[in-house]
This record gives sequence, structure tokens and C-alpha cells, in this order.
Amino acid sequence: MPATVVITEPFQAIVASHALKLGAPGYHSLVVPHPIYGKTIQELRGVAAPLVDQALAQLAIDSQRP
Amino acid sequence: MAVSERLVFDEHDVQEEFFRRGWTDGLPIVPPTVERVEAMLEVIGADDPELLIGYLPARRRGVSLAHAAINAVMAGCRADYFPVVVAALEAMFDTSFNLHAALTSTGGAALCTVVSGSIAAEIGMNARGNLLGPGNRANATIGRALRLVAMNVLGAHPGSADASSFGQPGKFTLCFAEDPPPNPWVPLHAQLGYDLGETTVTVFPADGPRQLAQQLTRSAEEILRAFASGIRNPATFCTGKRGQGMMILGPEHAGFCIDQGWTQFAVREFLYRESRITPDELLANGVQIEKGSANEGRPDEDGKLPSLASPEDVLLITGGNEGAGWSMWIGSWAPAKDAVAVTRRVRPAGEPLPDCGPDGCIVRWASDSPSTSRLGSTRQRTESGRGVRSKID
Repeated sequence: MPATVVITEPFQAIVASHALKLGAPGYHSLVVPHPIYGKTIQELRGVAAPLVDQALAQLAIDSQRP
Repeated sequence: MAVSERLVFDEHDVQEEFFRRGWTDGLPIVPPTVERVEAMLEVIGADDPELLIGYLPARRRGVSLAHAAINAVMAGCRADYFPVVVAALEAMFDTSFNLHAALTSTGGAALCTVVSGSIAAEIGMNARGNLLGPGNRANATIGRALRLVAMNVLGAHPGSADASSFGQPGKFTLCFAEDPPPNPWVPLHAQLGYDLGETTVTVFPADGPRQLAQQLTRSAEEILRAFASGIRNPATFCTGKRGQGMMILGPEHAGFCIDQGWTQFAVREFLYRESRITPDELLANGVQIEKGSANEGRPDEDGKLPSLASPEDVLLITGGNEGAGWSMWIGSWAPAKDAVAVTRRVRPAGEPLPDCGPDGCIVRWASDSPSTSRLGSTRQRTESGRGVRSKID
């Protein structure tokens, strides 16, 4: 199943570290500003909207993985 | 013992090299020479030091008896502490402990380790004054060994695969012995169904310890009511989310409870019931109620949100020294649905490891995600097919 992961900016290093350990170096992610919690639904939509194309591209890449 | 890599240093270079390689918790270590490691393994009669105690699929890392022995030496353990270290690691690898999450979480869980039974005194553990403080080698080094294994073998390095925002002092070490309670109360291992003559180690991923004060009343109910209010602190993550925790009653408070006829069951049940919190109380204290999330609280019939999953999720022990009237609460880092305390019997020195046969023990995991099962034992096989022995009750 195609997948990606939404993370906030400070977690890029730890996610990269885990991806390497799990045999998926450079695994894609969608990075959003930190913190994400406490935002209203409207604010969350504002954060997500610019990432839609990137998300679709990453899911398309994932669907082509063997 | 097969040695995968032998490092040779001048004595004055050992510490700096281990620091440079990131193999310490920030404090100096005892160099793990072959002789010291073999002495550790000999105590448990390990025929095969490469045998895995457990394997963590989410990190693709396993901890062997040799790994455990090396890090126990580094921590400063005496060889006779090693059976406790092994039993504690076995507990941590139970899927219900949720080790991967506990080591990774921003919440900064400590590996709280409690030994109940006669082996604690035999190896010189402290159950009394400065119970959670410095000064006792066994307490300090057994807990430290577990953290060094987590860092050096499972990769839980701060800033890398350990994302703790703050961490806590308990991540250096948080290990102690239970002071056997006065009659008619029974030790923790007996409460959990083990024989009185056995020794157990209980490990749970823990929040920071919180000292509790009740210094003017002799009423057991008033004492416990204040402690329950401490548990349901609105700013604590597990408040209203059905967690677990360890209540360590100091001598005065335990004595009042026993003298006034409180059973251990009654104490646990009271703490469970009185640590529940209403949604209004949370909101009045500025805490938003989670809706539709994994952490959404499930209220009891009266609308109150339990802070503890059940009375049995209060691990009740006695410990510490006489003083002004102190006890201690160590809450769980996460709700019980996510992680729970796990207990294993400590095999006395010289007792052989269980024989799982030539093919090792069978693993059955459906995915890399941990189960929420509360199985009594976990058996795992490595990807290479080598057998792993785990504690078998």
C-alpha cells in the first residue's frame, strides 16, 4: 500500500535515522512546521493544502516500489 | 566466547575512546574486558553467549546474552547482579512492554525496575533510605545496564532514535528493591501470583518519580486521598487516560494503612477510584479533552475518566526510610493500552536457562507493530533463524 509520513520539522533527523536502520534510506516524508498540535481544523487545512501535490507524488512513487 | 571485535587501548585512553564512540551515558564506564564479560556470563551458565534475549523488529536489533554482559560490565555491575539484568531485559522484550515506543517517545520514559524477593538482599540491593537516590552499587548499576543496552545495542541514542524532549534523571538509572511489607501485607511478587520464595523483577516505562507528602495526619484515608489527588494531576499525560503506576508507601504511611485495617486490595481500589477525574475538572485546569483520537478517554458510568486502567494497575509496594512522612508515586509514561509493566522471575545464579530445543523457540509476529497482549512470556526467533530463549514461567 502506498504510504508516506507527515512529520514536523524537528523530527527529520530521527526519521532519517530510523529509515536508514530499517533499510529505507532517504524514505520520503511531508514536513510541516512545528508544533502541529492545538491548531484548528482551518489552520490544519492551511498547513496541508500546499502539500497535496507533494503527497500525491510521493504516493505515486511508493506505488511503483517492488 | 567468540569476540567480533577486540579493541586494545592504553589504560588512560579507554574512557576517552568510549566517550568518542558514543558508547556511554555521559558517565565513565568500566572497560568490558573479556575476563569481566565471561565472569558475568558464567553466573547464568550461558553456553552460547550469542543467544538472543530478545529481538526488536521495529529497529531490526537483537540483544544477546553477550551484549547484556558487556553493558552490565560497563555499567559497573558485579557478576551476581547479572541474573537480575537478564530477567529485566526479558521483561522489556515482552510485546506488551512496547519497548520500541518506550525508547523512542518524546515523553522520555525511564526503565523503572523493581526487584521483589530474597535475591534483592542477597546481592545487596537497597530497599530503604535513599531508595531512589545514590549510594548503592546494585541499584545504580543494574538500572544503568538496562539503559546502556538500550543505547548501545538498540540504538536509543539521544538525538538519534531517542526523541525525548526532556528525558529525566531516571534515564540514567531507576532501579530499586522492595522493602518487604509488614504482615499481613505481602510482597509485590506474591501479589502478582509468584511463590513467596521466588524473586521477580518488574519493569515498566515510567514517568518521572513524584515524592508525596502527608505529614500531619495519621488517617490512612486522608493520606491516600491526598495521594490520589496527586495521581490525577491535570498536567500529567496519563491523567484520565487509564495508565498504570507504582505507589511506594513509606514506613509511616504503610503502617497507618495496616494498623487501620486497609488491605492491599483496598488501597489499590481506593487509589483507582479516587484518582479518576471529571472532564470539567480537566477543562477547568486548562486541559483540552481529546475527541476522536487514540488517547480519547473512556469514562466510567458516572462520567469520570479513570487515570488508572484498573485497581490492579496500581503496583503497590513499601520502601524508603522513616522520615517526616514521605511516599512516592511513579506513574507510567503511557496509557495501559499502549504499554504495561511486565514481571519476570529472576533465575538464581547457576539455574540453567530453559531449553527450547534445537530449533529454538517459535516466534509469531504478524507485523512490526507491537501487540497489546499481556502474555506471560514471549518467544522470538531472529531473522537468521537462530533460536531465542525467553523467560518461561
